[in-house]
Amino acid sequence: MTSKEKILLDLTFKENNDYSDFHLVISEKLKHLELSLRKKIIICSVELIQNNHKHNNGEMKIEIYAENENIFIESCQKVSDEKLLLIKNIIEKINTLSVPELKKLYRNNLTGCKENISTGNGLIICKLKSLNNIYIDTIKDKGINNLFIKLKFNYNG
Amino acid sequence: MDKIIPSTAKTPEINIDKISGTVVIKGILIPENPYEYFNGINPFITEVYNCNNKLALNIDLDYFNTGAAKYLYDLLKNFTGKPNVDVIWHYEEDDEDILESGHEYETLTGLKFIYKIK
Repeated sequence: MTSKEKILLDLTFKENNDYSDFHLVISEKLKHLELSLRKKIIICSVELIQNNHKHNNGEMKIEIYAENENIFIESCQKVSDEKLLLIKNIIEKINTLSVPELKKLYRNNLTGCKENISTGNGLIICKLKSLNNIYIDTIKDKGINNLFIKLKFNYNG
Repeated sequence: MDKIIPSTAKTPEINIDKISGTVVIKGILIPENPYEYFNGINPFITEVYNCNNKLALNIDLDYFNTGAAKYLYDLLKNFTGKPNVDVIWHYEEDDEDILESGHEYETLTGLKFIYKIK
């Protein structure tokens, strides 16, 4: 934590929290950033938070901070062994794909996904918006997996 | 206006004018359950078109989540091949992502898009 130059936002969501206005809180905290970057960070945060809420619904921490002319979003969530493996596999696959390949996959998911089923585009958007690989790390504490997902946005403002 | 569906923290305001065939969707679109949300609004928009066989669909979104993106595609795709349908895609000058999304939907649906800077 001490190496982070500037913490812009630090939110913790508890199980069954009211999620109604978290994006407005993020938007307010990032209002000094230029529009395009701010919206990219908001939408990636929304995807991470809503993914966790929908598929996991456990406690989640999310931190947005500036470091070395970059902005980072770092999330931490507790996940089962099964979910951990699933998410790791998805992220590892996304990280092997180029931007054109990811755009094609996004488009296929958008147009081909059946109704009322997740498109699977949330993490794809995270890489497309950040234009960097998605960092992933896990720490097992007292038998519980803490999954860290980190997104890096280049920022020269 | 015939009908106004008010905005919520996660969904846009929708203004519906059947006589002029105009629908304006304005705000943030990140519903937790996009399937349910779009099932609620799609009939109103279809009704506007059916009323006089024309539709000017104004989409003025700040941002949307990937769940809503899929249902927005489905909504637009419903009008593919139908005459007198214009999609007016509003975007802020520096918002390359929203503009790119408009181009993407235009390509995928074959609908006529008109781009307007806010």
